[in-house]
Amino acid sequence: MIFDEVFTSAVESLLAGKFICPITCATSYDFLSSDINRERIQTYLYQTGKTLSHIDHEFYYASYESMTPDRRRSSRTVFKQTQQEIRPVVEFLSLMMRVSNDERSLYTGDEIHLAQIVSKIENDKSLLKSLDRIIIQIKGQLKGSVFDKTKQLINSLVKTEVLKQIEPKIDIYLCTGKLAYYINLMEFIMTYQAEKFDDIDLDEPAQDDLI
Amino acid sequence: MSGAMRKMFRMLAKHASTIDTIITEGVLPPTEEALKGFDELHNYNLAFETASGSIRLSSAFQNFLENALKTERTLAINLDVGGYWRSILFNINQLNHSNTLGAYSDSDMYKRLVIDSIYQLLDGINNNIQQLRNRIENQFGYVHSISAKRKENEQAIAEARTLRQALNIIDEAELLESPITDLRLLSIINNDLFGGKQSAIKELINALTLMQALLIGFRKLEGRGKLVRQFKQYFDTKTDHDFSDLISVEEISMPPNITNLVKAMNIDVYPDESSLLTRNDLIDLAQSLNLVEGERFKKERDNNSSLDMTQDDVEKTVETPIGVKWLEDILLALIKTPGDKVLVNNIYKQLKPECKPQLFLDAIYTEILRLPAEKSKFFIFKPLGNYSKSFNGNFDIKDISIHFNH
Repeated sequence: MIFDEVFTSAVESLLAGKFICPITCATSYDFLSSDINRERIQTYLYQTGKTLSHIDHEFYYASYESMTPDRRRSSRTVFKQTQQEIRPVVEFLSLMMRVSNDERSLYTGDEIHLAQIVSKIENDKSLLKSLDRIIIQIKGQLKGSVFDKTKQLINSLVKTEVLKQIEPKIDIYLCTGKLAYYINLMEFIMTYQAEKFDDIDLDEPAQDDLI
Repeated sequence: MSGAMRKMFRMLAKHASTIDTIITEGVLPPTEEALKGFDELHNYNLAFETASGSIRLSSAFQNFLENALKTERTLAINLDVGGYWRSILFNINQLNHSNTLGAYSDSDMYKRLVIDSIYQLLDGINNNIQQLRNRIENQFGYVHSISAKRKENEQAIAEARTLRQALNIIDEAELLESPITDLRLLSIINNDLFGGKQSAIKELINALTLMQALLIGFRKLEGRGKLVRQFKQYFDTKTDHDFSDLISVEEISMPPNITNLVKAMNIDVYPDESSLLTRNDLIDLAQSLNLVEGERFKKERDNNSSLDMTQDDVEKTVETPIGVKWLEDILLALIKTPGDKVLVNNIYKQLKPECKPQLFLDAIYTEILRLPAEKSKFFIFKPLGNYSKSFNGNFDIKDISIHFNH
């Protein structure tokens, strides 16, 4: 891609409220990795009342540079929507940790193979119950095979851009920078609303473990 | 002998996973490969089947493995540098004393002891550093859980720091107090001992840097997993899932960047190219709406490109009939499929918990259509009829009216 195409693509993505990371758009992300290009984008965004934000340069997104009542309203609306998306993401991550029997959470760049997940869930009733609970939460269809239900979950995360399918028709997905955003947001919430988590005891068995 | 050893170790490497399963589960995996592995281990008397049918490794082999594999974990970086150093100093003093007395056979013995102590010390230092390297290279892979890796990492950092400090005990100034005349010994002390000390310090600093980086990684990984579990439990046990008070309602304050996101344009709700209406379709559609005011606006824009939109210093001159473009934009955004379903349904669903008419309209203007406020104010865009009656989220294109706002 030539310079103006990359520039335009990056600006359009940012103005459309998208997260730019190495997974969602490697070209734009590489472009933004340069100080001078970031400065160019920043100059452009600034004229639209927006600014380029990032968390440790893991991903980039646009924020309002200053607040007006309209922008504040928009920002609040987006955040309300975002916080509604946290739970499905948490449920998905928790399910994946149990599926892979790994205490690590997924993160940007991690691969998800649908077939492997389905095979694990098919052989474990408690995982299946957990999947059903998530399907109910995302208002999906409980009828159908484990594959169908897992695919519904994955598709909902692809729709919110937490996952990206590597190729059409190939059921392998990559975690995007949007997932890193959610995890950073959770850390932020945990820091600033710590009192809400005071009585959370991780030594107690989780609800899914009791199923 | 070495050929036989090579053959045996190749066999062990080939069947490592089978051996691992035998150790941990006492059974053979039901695969042809595992059965073959057991046969080969049995041929070397390294594994056998018990009367009860379980599979065991021979105790000698099991002990060998445990010791070999445990080494990495249990060999602490705790070399007694001070002990070796005192021994070196003592023997140098004895060497000098023997030289003074002319007891040259004793001198030779003490010289050998000094040299032995120096190389034992250097060996110990190198072994400790090699231990650190191994741990770093396999990223503390000898323990499984992230928290265990993090603890091992912290422990290794503490040990490396201790060793780094201990190396200061090897002090040139202290050695100068006991003059050394033997040239070979002097060369060993200057080149091997002090040179070894300096390169060990460099190695330790590198190792510490790498381990600090690893530690940050382990803490992050551990933290993320814990965070997910905490939120999972929070969602499972609490009913209040609202964190929106993180965004200040004060008009003057800026929200933190992590909660300050511009409204995403949901591409999914836009028509795909095959369902885009043509310009003529749009005009027909616009005519089917009560767009008298819009038409007037369009004419004004066509006839008078200097229509005053400068109240907010937005645009001083207008080169194209932007009014038409805006109408097109609105209509494009409204139409989801070749049918006439209206996208406002989606917006309504998103906002439903606190859906108030004005908020709904604001959302359409500023968040979904992304019309800048200074432009959108030229349009009044509202449901037809009584709000309470028609404002039920089940809008049809016919229920929407767009007026030019004078």
